[in-house]
Amino acid sequence: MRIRPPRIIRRMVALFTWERRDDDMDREMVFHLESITREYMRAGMSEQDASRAARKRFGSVLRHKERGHDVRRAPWIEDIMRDVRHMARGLRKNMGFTTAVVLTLALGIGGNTAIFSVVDQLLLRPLPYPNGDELVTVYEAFPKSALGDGEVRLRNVVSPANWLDWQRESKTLHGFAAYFLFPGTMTGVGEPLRVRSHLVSSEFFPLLGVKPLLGRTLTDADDRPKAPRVVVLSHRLWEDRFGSDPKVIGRVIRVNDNPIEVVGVMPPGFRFLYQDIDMWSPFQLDRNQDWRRTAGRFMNVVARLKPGATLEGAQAEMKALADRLAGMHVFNKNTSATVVSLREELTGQVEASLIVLYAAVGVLLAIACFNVANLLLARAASRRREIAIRTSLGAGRLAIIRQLVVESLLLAVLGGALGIALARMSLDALVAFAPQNLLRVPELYVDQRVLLYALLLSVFTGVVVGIVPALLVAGQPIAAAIRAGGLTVAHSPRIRQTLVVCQVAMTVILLSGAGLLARTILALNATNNGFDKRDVLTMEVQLPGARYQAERRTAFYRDTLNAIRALPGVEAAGAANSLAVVGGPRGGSWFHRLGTPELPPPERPVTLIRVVTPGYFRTLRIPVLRGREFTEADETSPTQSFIVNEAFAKQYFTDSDPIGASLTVWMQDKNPYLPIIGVVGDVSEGSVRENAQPTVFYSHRQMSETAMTLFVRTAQPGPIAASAIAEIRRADPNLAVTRVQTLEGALAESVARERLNAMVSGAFAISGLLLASLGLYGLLAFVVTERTKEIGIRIALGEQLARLRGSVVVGGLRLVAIGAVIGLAGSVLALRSLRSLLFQVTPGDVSTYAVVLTLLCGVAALASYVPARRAARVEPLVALRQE
Amino acid sequence: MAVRQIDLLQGTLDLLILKSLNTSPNHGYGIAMRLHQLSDEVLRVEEGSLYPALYRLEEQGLVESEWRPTENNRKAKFYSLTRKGRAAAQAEHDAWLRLSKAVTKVLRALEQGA
Repeated sequence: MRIRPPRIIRRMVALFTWERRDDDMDREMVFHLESITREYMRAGMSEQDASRAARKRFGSVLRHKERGHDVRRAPWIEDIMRDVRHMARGLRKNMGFTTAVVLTLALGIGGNTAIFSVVDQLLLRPLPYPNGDELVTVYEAFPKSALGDGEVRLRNVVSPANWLDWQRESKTLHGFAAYFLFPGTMTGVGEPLRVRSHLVSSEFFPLLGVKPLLGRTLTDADDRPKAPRVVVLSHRLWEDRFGSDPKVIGRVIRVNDNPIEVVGVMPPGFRFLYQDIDMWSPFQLDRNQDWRRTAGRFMNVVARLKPGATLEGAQAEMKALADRLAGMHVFNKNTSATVVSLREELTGQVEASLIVLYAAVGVLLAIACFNVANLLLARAASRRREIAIRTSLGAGRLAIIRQLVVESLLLAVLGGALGIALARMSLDALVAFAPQNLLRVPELYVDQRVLLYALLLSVFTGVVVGIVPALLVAGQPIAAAIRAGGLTVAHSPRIRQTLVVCQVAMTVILLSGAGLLARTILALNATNNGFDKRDVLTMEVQLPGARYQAERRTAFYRDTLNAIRALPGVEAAGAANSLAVVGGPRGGSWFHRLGTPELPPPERPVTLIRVVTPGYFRTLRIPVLRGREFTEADETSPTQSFIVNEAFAKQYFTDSDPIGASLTVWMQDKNPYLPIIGVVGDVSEGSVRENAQPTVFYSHRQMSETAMTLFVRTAQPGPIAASAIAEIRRADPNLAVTRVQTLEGALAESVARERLNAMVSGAFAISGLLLASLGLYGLLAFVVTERTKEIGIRIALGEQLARLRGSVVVGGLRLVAIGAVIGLAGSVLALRSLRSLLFQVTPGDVSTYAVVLTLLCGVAALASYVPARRAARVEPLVALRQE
Repeated sequence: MAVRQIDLLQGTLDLLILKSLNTSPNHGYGIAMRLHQLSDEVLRVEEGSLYPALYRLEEQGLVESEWRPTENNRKAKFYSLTRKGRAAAQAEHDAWLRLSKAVTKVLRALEQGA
């Protein structure tokens, strides 16, 4: 016996094999006909007569076939197909309705799909390393006031000594690799290029477990001190600068004028923490040196959980280990260790934002659903007569519900398809808009997972928005509907009003949330960080240390700055080791003030260090509070000096004048005591949200950095940038000038996350407001149309038009008011979760809510006024004649 | 054809088809002819009922079909009983016997009573 698939499958298959079956029946029946014909011919008829008689006896082949098909088809599938065709016809005829519904759903589903895609790619997918979720970064921590200034720092860089001890002793982590960000300039391959490289220990590549595309990664031999210098290139650099040359292995490139041999190229998409690392070189650290005696903390550490170990277990063990080391070494006193999963390292910055945006777009989808449900209700109501007639002709309730749900599904799938296109576009915009290291992914894409999500969401949406109207309509008694005669069509006003109220409430929550986030970014942009950030052009220059000895560096920056100052349109110019606020300080170290008792190292006071040239404070308009700033005379004078900031003066000179006091800072090989000659105003440290930290400023002559950031105060940043770069190139054509930007732009980039929050949630909120007002408008317009006759009578009886209009508007605003109250209560509850994202504004900010309500009332009044005006224009005679 | 031909009851046709296939596979025309002849030309199977019945039985898994040459070497679609069909044929047969016995009994009783 043949194996028969289940009937449902056979019937579905039968749908697609219809033609073959039809042919089969044809042949079978023709055979039958022929057989009858022969029978008649044997009985003595002529062929013609026999054939005619046979056909007469047999009947219509077509009819027999049809009945044959009837037996086998899958009725419900064909019914649905018929419904779909029927609906598609109906929707085409009703383009306005269809467009409104499809666009609304596209907005909801598209927004949702876009944010899901980001959530999926940043938070849900495995990291791009084998068993990447086992990877952790390990930091030193200062849980108590080990820094002297009372600051708790839980993620600090690591001393090589601690790295090596951890590696030896940890039982929960293994593969400890050290890495260190090291910028440089690559020459000899096209234009000089500023490159970012990671110096990594030999454990690094085996730990991550990613194989190179070409050549090899770094070995233990490469990592020995004084081993020949080698480099592994990123795929992007290999593509951009080496034209994807397969013979690049063995080629010698120059970075900071040092020859380095290329030994490998990583595959595309390989990245570690940052998008823009160009190359990896061996750290070549001497592991036998006593690092606690000779250096501070400067490296980062990444490791892998041993099989069976958990993050919590590793954290506990590392803390115990750090405590033990703190007891053994003075250097480690009061320090601990922190273990952070690599996932959190990558997404911690945006996770909270993403969750908030995902929630916001969920609310937007809900608003869209309410809107569509409302439209469908109106449409179902206006079709009640049609439906009633179909019911009386024998269509079952189920068939009616099915028809309506199929319709909403069809609309949802159309909306979903459009939504996917919308998501695709908004993702591109998001990547273009977000700074590279915010999202830490090269691109955001719509793939199968996201498509599946969008499809499921569409189907779910379709069922949700369709089922309620369907049940309502199908549940109503037939007779009443037919008697209603299509004039006073009941349209479930309560439900529709409730839907509008819900929409308004949700819109208020969205608007309030977006309002708070907008206030945050405005506050961040408006913060006075201690200097005048407008009209300042900045750029980074890196001198190759091999060609530029200390004195040449200072001379180079002095001459270059003088040349730039001489350019017409330049008001002032100066340089520092990095950008103010967002650029890191040169370092941090212990210092000692002459004439005070000298404490053992862990208890010594600590300060941050920045390096500046003459003219820096003037250029940024950082006020000099006491004394003076560095001048060119200081650069040639044999005596040197320090400048400190106000935070430093306030913390360490509570009772005396810092001017004239002498400090030594343990920063370099030789650290003579030098006098403080000036106190300058405070500047935020780290981000525009933060306060200043005690800082000591070195002059460039004292600490002649190779890489400096130039600051040029000018009203025309564009042309001045070009001339400034020309001046630099004139001095040395082999220098890379990078990060040419305005200071304002650089600071804005540092608040890109907050700006992204504000803009995306703002877009959702405005969409929500539009949808909700459309919903309100739709409801009122429907009510007015429905009551045309009554309104006509009222006008005929002399009711004032203004009162009539007023009553419609008041009806609308009443719903809005109820929604707004619910929405406000919801906001107060829901928006508390935003707290960590806000700056200088609290979740209960009254002025934000006031603005939101004003905006809402304005839009709602407009949405109500349009139908109200139409009501007032009803011609009594026309209205009364309508029957 | 002096005798008036009788149309078959729905259900009865299924039984006759199944039983006629019990001995050997046959094509649609063959089944119709066989039933006609065996009933001494009393029963006349409507083609319009025959084919839907065959398709329904096939759909229910009681018969299966295959294209095969006839004795005259023409291609025809032959139906044969499946195992399930054989069992169904027996069950329907029993049911029919019970029904006709009951009907006959009632008719006889009514005749006597009248």
